[in-house]
Amino acid sequence: MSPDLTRALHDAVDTGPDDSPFSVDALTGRIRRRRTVRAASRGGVAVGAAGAVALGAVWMGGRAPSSALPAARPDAAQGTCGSPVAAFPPATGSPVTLLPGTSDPFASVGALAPGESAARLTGRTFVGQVAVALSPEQSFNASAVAQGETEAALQQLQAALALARRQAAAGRPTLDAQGIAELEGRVARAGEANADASAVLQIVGPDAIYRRDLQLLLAHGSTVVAVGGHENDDGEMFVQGETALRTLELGLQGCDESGDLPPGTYDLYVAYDTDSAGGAEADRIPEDRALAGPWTVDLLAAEPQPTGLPSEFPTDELPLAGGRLVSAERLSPSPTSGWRVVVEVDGDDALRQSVELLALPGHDTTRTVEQAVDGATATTSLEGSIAGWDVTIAAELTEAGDQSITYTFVPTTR
Amino acid sequence: MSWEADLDRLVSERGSALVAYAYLLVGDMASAEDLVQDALVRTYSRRRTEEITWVEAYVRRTILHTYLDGYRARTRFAAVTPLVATPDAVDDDVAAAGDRADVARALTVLSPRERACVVLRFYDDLTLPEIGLRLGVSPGAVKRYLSDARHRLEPLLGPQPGLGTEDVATITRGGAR
Repeated sequence: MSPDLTRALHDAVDTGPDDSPFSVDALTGRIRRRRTVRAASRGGVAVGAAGAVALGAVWMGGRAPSSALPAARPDAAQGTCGSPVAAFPPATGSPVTLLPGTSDPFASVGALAPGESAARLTGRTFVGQVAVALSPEQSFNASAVAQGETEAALQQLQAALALARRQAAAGRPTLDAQGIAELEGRVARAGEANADASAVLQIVGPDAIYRRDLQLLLAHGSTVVAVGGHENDDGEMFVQGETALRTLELGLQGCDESGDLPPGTYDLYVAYDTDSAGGAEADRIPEDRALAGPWTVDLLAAEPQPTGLPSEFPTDELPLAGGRLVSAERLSPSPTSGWRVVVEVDGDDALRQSVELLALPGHDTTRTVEQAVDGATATTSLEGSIAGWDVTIAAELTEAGDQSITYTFVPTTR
Repeated sequence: MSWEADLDRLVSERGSALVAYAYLLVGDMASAEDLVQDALVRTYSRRRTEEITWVEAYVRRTILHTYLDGYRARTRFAAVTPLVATPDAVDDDVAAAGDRADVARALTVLSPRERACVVLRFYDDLTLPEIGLRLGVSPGAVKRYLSDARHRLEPLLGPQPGLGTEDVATITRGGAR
């Protein structure tokens, strides 16, 4: 008799031994270290902020302290400033998920489950990657074929070609002659790739475009307080296999222009059109929109520039990320040598803020330039030049959650 | 109650079940224990003590995502290697007897996503749309994974009508625009 899967799996999980499978002590130590670091960082923020006020330090890069939140407007249109989240119809399973926009290499790279933390930020912008799961039909229509799946790709393309030819023969063409010729070329290339089982091939057709009208909403309580991600946006997404991806940004300012949002925990939603064909914003009707999420976004108190720097350090030329100064020293005893400065920072966007503060040219701050993981420490580094200085910034993150920025400033030949 | 006490209670009362759940996914005991410990560290590094009521479910969800993340990372960096590694022999301590052993052994022939779908469907009792939401894929994709799983499992376990997915409308692959 065939085993019943439900009973067998529940038996396997729920009727095991009662004793602990492993020691909690080592586990407790790992967790305690991570929690201690986080708590110390938060405490440091408060102490640093208080000291900064006394010294007249300025907030740079981070959000200016504010206590204002946009007012709730129960009658506001769906997805607009002050509107209730409940203006969206209840979702019954969403193809839309969020991937972490963090530079934390230890963080999950998979989709965030609703309720998980999307980011802890001190800056003025949230950056996240939205993923839309495509049906096989949508994936096919986007003409994208995933890496490595050469046999499946070949079969899919052959089927598509046969379909296109049948439709053309029946007088209902969906591809013109050029389109069929292009498809024939892709079938040929897929055939060649399939002949070499070890080939890793990415075949992306000229129509590898998928559009979806996406919008990021930040809510406090049940009220929308910030909106982003859709202005001047044609909705085009990058398609990879059965997933369409798009990086979206959300300014962390109140949508009523009341200024930077105050520190606290917010709910992040992705609003999307349930009609996957997309459509212009003007065509939206409320019943066609739904929400994915929420995920949490923690806005941390903005930190001032570190205090305690040597008096000869050129703070005006070289603004540093807000945080606690760990060390600041000359690269050599010479008074004309450069500097190495280490600042302990908090927030997932510390590196991004460091780059923006220095206005390093040529860097897309949403991307990792170089990343290396050595044991339990990961380093993300980038280099650039500003007037008078060659700059290296290395963001170091330990598995325990310690985060620091190491700046190296070398004077250029003057 | 402190988080340490919560953790201690969770591990002592449900630790074996969590490891057994992870074992269904990874197919070997050492990896299952590592997976559970990583999930517990991630969970308790951020969670507050008052949320204990749903911590076990949250840990199971973290186990699933950590498992699939590892699968994604492996496939990203080793696209030419076989997607399904044959796990070590089934651990006798967990697959004690009968159906449990048969099912645990049979699950090792499934791909990671197929295995995840089977576990979510038959242990977590989720619907197809719910599984899709949990995995970040469409219900149609879930249906395909379960259908593929059925074709692989039935030669080993006999007929599995529960793996039928007739409750979700079929999407025609390659349909016209």
